[in-house]
Amino acid sequence: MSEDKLNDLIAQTPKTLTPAKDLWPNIEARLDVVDNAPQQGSWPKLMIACSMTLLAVIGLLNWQGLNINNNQDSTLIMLAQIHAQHLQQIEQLQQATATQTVALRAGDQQLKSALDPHSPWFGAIEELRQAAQLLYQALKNDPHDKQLLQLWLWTHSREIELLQQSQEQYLNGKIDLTPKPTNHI
Amino acid sequence: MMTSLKSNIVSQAKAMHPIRSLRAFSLLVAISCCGPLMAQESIDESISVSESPKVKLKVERGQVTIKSWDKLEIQVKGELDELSEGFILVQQGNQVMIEDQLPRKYNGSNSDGSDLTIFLPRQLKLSAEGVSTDFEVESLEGKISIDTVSGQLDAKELSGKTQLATVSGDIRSYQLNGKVRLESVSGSIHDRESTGEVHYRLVSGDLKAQSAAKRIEAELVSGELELVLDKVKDLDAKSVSGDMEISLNQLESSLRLNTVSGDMDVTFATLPDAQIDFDGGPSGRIRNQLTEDKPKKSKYTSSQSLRFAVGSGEADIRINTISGTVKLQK
Repeated sequence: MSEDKLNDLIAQTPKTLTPAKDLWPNIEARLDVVDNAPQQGSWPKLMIACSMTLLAVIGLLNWQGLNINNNQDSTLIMLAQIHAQHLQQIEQLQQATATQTVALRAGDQQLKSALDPHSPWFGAIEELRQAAQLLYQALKNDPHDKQLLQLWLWTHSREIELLQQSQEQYLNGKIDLTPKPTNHI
Repeated sequence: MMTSLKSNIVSQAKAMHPIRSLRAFSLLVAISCCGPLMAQESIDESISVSESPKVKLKVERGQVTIKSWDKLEIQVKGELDELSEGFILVQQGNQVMIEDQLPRKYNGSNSDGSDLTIFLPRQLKLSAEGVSTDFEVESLEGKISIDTVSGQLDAKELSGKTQLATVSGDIRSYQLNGKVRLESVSGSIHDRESTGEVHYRLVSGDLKAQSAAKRIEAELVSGELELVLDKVKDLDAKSVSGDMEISLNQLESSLRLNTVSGDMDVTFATLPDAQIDFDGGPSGRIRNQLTEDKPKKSKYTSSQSLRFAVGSGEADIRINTISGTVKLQK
C-alpha cells in the first residue's frame, strides 16, 4: 500500500469511536446492582490479598538465583513489608468481623467474640502468632532460608484461615461454647 | 406435628364455651409440658435416582449412618429430630436434597437429634453437613465431603476424592483411598491403611496415622504427630510446637519436616538413599544416628547445621527447626 493511500485512510478514520447504541444506562444499572448487593465482608478480598502475597513471595523464592535477595538489605525490607501487610490484614479482618457482628446480632446475648478463650481456635491463633514472631526473628538473622520463609508464610496464612473459620461459625450461630473434653488417642 | 396440634387446640378453644375452653387450655398446658417426652417421629422413605446422583444432606444434630448399596435408590429411615419442622427428600434432575429441618434457634442436646440410616448408591457426589452431628459413612466412591462442627466422623472404605472436616470432633478413618483430606481444629485424627494422597490438617488435636499413601502432607499447630508409613514418595510435615514421631520403610523422592519448637524423631527401616540437609535455627539440635557425620556449629551463634549424603543422594531430605531437637535413626 502506498504511503499516500495510507495517509488518506488515516485521515478518513473517525477520531472517536461511538458505539451503535448508548451503553451507559446499562453500565449505570449494573453499577447500582453491585452497590446495592449485600455486603459479603472483606474476607474474600483479604483471602485473595493474602494468597497474592503468598504467591508473589513463592514466585520470588523460585526465581533462579533469587536475584532480588542477593542484597540482604532489600530482603529484610521485603520481610518487613510482608510482616506489616499481614498485621494490616488481621486488623482489617477483625474490624470487618466486629462490624458484621454488631449489625447482624444486635442484642443477641448468646453471641460471644470469636476470640473467646473458650473457642477451639483461640489457643491456636495465639500460638501461631507467637510462632510467627519467632520465625520472623530467625529470618532476620538468615533471610535467605527458603524453608524458614515458607514456614513463616504458612503461619500467616493459617492464622488468617483460622480467624475466618472461627468468625464464620460464630456469625452462623453454629458454635457451642461449652468446653468439651478432648478425646486423645 | 406438635405445632399443628397446639394451634388446633388454641383455635378451637377460642370458639368454645368458657368451661370447655378451660379444659382445652389445660390440655394444651399438659401437652406443652409433656412435649419433650413424646417420641420422635419415625420415617422410612425412599426415592429412585439416576446413576451417580449429587446428594446434599443436612442434619444439624444427632447421628447419621450412611451405607451404600447397588440399587439406584436412596432410602432414609430412622427417627427425626425431636424439634423437626419437616423432613425433605426431594429430587431435581440429578440432584437430591435430604434435610431434617430445624428451627433457626433451638435449645437441646444432641440426644434429642435425628437418628437416621441412609442408604445411597455406591457411586455418587455427596455433600453432608451438620452441627452437633456424628456421621458414620462407609463404602462410597466419588466426591465425598462431610462437614460437622462438634460431631465425630467415622469413615471406612471411601474412594475417590474425600474431604472430612470437623471443628471439635474426632475423625477415625480406615482404608480411605484416592485424594483424601482430613481436617480437625481441636479434635484428633486417627487414620489407618489409607492409600493415594492424604492431607492432614489439625490445630491442637493429635494425629496418629498408619498409612500406605504415596504422598502425605501434615499440618499441625500444637498437636502431636505419629506417622507409621510404608513406601512414601513425598512427605511434607509442619508443626509449630507439636512433636513428631515418624517411621517409614522407604523414601522415594522427598521428605520435608519443619517445626518451630517441636521435636522430631525420624526412624528409617533401611538407610535412605538421600541427600540430607538440616538447619537448626537459633537453638535447634540434631542427633544423627544414621551416619558418623556430626553437625556444624555456627561461629557466632549456637545454631547447628548438617549436610550429608547417604548412598547416591537420590531422595531429598530437608529438616528445619527453630528450637526443636531432631533425631535421625534406623
